Amino acid sequence: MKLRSISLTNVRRFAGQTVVIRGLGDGISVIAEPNEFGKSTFFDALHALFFSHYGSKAGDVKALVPEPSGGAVEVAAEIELPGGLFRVEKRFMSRAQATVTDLTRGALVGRDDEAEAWLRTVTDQGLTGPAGLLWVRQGVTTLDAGDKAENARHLGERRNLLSSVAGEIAQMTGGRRMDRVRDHCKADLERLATSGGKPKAGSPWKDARDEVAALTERVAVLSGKVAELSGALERRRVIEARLAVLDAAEARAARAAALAAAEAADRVAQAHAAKVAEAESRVKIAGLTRDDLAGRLAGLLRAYGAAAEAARVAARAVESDGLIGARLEEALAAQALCDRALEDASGRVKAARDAVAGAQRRLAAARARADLVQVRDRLTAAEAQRAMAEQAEAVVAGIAATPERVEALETALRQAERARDAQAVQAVKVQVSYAGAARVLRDGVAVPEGVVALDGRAVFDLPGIGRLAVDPGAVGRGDAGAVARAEAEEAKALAVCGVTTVEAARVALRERAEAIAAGKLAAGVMKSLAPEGLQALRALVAHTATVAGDAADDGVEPDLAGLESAVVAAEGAEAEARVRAEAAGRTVAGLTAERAGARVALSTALSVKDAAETAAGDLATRVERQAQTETAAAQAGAELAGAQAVVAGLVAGAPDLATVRAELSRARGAIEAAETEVARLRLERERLAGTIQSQAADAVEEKLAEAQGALEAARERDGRYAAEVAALIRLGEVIEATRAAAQDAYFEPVQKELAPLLAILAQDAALTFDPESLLPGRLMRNGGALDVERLSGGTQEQIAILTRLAFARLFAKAGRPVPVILDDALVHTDDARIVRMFTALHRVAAEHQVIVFTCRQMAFEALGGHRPEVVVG
Amino acid sequence: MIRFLHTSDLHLGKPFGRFPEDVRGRLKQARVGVVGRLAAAARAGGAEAVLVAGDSFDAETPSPAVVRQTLNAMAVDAGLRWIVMPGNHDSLAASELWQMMARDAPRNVVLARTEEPVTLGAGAVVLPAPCTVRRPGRDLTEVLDAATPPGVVRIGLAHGAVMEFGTGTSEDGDPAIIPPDRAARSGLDYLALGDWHGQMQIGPRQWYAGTPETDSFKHGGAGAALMVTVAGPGALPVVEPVRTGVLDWVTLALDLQAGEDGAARLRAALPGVGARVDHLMALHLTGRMTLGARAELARAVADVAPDFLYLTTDWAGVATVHDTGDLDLIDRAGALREVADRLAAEADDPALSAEARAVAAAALSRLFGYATEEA
Repeated sequence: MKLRSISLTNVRRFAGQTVVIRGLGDGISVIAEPNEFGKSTFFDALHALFFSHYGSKAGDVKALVPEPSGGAVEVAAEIELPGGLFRVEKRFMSRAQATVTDLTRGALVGRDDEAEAWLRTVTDQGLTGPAGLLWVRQGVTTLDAGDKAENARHLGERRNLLSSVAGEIAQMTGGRRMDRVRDHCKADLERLATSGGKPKAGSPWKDARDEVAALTERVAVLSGKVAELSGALERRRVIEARLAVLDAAEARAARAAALAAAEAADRVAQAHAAKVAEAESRVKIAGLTRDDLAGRLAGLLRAYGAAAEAARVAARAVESDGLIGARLEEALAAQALCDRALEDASGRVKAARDAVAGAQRRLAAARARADLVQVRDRLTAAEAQRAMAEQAEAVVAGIAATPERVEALETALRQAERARDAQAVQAVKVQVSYAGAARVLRDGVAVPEGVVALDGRAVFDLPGIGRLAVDPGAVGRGDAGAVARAEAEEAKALAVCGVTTVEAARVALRERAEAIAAGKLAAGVMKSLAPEGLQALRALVAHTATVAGDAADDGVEPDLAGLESAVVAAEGAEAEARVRAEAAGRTVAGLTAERAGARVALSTALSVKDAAETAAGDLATRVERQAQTETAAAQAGAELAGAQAVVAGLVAGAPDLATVRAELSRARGAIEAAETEVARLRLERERLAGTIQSQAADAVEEKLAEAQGALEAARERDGRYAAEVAALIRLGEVIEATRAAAQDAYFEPVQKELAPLLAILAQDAALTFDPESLLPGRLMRNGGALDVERLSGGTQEQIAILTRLAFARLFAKAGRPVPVILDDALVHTDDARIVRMFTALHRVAAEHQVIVFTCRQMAFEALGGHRPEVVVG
Repeated sequence: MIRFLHTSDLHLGKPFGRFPEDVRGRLKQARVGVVGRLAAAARAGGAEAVLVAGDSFDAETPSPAVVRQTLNAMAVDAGLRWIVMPGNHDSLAASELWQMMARDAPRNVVLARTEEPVTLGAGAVVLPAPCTVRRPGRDLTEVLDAATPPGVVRIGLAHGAVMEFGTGTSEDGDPAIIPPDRAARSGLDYLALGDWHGQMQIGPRQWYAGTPETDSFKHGGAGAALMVTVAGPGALPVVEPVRTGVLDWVTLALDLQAGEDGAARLRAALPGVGARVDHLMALHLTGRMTLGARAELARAVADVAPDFLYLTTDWAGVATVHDTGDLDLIDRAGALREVADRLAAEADDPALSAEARAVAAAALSRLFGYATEEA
């Protein structure tokens, strides 16, 4: 689409006037007019023409009405489309209308709503056509205009410009509206569900889900109770039906009648059984009688037979005994012969052995006699040694001074000497020397010359002089007690040793040792002479003497070997005789035993014969007795058969007592079982009644039905919430997917189209877009990057225009070229940059119509392009 | 001449668990009062007895309070006889119930628990065919052949479904066993039937009275009983419906076309505002609606719902038409429109499961709501 002319009538400052712009070219058209000419009026009016309904009285339309004159506002434009040249006219506010005319064909395309519909089609329904994209309002200014109010205004303008870009983005991505829808969706979803799509705690969905769970449990519990109740009711019904059957009078009467009949049958059966028993008793007696007679007859016959047999056996026993007796006599005679032969042989053996013994005694006596002298000498020597040993032992026994005792004595002696020495050291000593014959007497005894030690008070008689008493005092006496104790020990030790002096003790000790040695020597010699003791040696001497005296020494040495051979020969003969004698003995013994057995057998046979004869009775009456017994037995057999026939007849006609008893038992059992069952059922009925009344009073069926209904409703609610959540989740998914796709669709081609335009501005410049705001975010240049918001106002203005031109190129490539209208869009760009921007505009203008409104006539001269005619009339 | 009120299926004690608490209270209250209203209707119509053809109670073991209150209500007018027969819901198997009834029933209440004929006035007998168990599986009405003294009006009292009639099953879905010509076969002057909750004539002498207080949308309208007048043996009975219900159960079916103003149709079809408080409404919507129209109708439904005792809407039969105009209302272009287009395509995509299509349609409706709210 390309604009060819614009016409405004009675719009704002053109009140009552019509202003027309003609000659808008294909590329760039520059309408350079001074400020306040009304360039923005054209801009706003064009916007209203394309995007406001002719009947609209919205603010943007009202803003076109001139003040204060007012009146209808008319806007018209000629647009060139692939289908030709068209004129679009709208009259707003008063007698509002819209008209579209096909100027090529000179035909009216549509009026009013038809015209609006056509226009929507032309602008692609204002949907994908980036209406806002075409319009660049007054551009950004530098941030610092030096005036606070001006700064704020410029900031607002810049924001407008960026917002217009944001509007385009929003158009493509859904923008803030999409965000709000998404927020709504998320909020509603979060109100109901967790991030995992589960019911959220505190949400109505969770409430419904919890209610479903609680009611499900309640329904289960109540169902159980209802089932229990139904079961109890059904069971009670069954019980009552059964009780009705059991308790029915007819049933009771039938059971009683059955019992009575069974009892009567039992009585009859029992009476008949008694008759049978009596008859059977008679049979038994008859049988016993018959058996007894038969037994007796048999016994009789057996006795007769036994008597005859016993007689035969006795005769055989007598015969046998005789034969054995004869054989025994012969054997005894033979045995006597053998015994005598043996006796002779034994006598010969004894004689031979006696001869050998005599020879042996003579030999032994000879040897004994030879030994007797030597043995007796040895005994004599041994006994002498023994005497010596006994003498030595006596000496030793007579000496009390053993080495231990002498050692103790030596010790006591040393201690006494030490005590005495100790006392002597302290004792008062008197040196006695005589010049003449006179002697000093002490206790009447002359005191020898020398030193006299005083151990206590001493009185000396000095003949002729008087008496001298010397008292050494306590010190001079020394330790008299110790001396006394030591001397007492010494005396005691001497006494033990049996001596009076120690020297004597030592002598005695030596003597004792010598005696011991002599004793040991004598004992050793005796041991060698009589190793087995003197007693044994004496016995040997005695024995040897006896042996020596047993046989006289005839001087001839006997032939012992010959004698011994004779013994052997005699013994052989004896052995043979003994064998024969023993054989004869055995024969005799055997026959003797046989004879004894025969005698026993004979005795037994005779006893049996006697007994059998006794049992058989008198021989003369035997035949008669047998005949009588046989006759009686035959009669008893006949009586038995008759009794048995009677029993058979009774048994054949008897009722089956077991059956009768079974019937009676059954009848009684039936009554008993019925009564037991009735009692049991009544008890169970009572128990069931408790259960039924309890559950029925609780109205469990009603509660179950109520709970089931509530559960159904809760499930429906749960289902509705689940469906709602599913819808919200799906909506959220599609929103996110679409947003992502839109962003991709937005950034990539925009970047692609923007790149060459930015290159015009700065060779290495590139823009990145903020994914959240979808706005140009950072400008990368000279290796660095800056947020767009931190760029200068001029740069922001240039980026905004270039981004818009990139969009325009996108639409052109889509086959929908649209005009780009700039309204003082480069007021803040310096001269150097503006030329580059012009280049960029020219680049775009190769495919687009670009209409530039500007008040900077000089600056925009370099832009080139068409200069359409502006006519105000 | 004999005149009596024929009713059945009171279903006293029915809990209505699936309804909200307040609605449940009203429903129960309405059932509690139905015995009194039946008595009043009987008196007003000059009936000497009320014949209850089964299902007086909803359960086999109703709460003692329900039983006692029912008997108390029947005892109020001692001159009015009640002949109460077990139905399938309160069959004779409900031994506890009938023992309680027998123990506490006032003198004017006759419990027809056996096939014994019950004398009704001087010249009429009632021949009961009580339900022995919930599903007897045999025709209990064969006992109605029982002989009666000559010259008396024979009135049968039975409960169950009639063969070759309606759905061919009982109210609970059990097989129909009662022959449709039972009245003629058994020489009955009138056969008072119970089980079917709607009022219906099966033949010149054979009627279902229906429930006196409606309990579901299946049989809509208000509950009623039948005033039956029999001039004498062999005479055709004169049967007049008598309203006894206080609550109206109404199913409103609207088949809508795309572009149609469903909200307007709804408003036009609804009962007067004053009566709505006693109405339970079931809106059964079918047809095709645009998103906008559907949203508008939903708003209209939400707007009128508080007027009613209960209102439920079944949207399952409504197919949403996603026309351009509705989608334009979401957005004319851009990503938001893309979302709408994708969901609309999913909702109409036969390759998807019905569940997935329903989710997409619901998501689109939700988007529509958000977007139009935004706008």
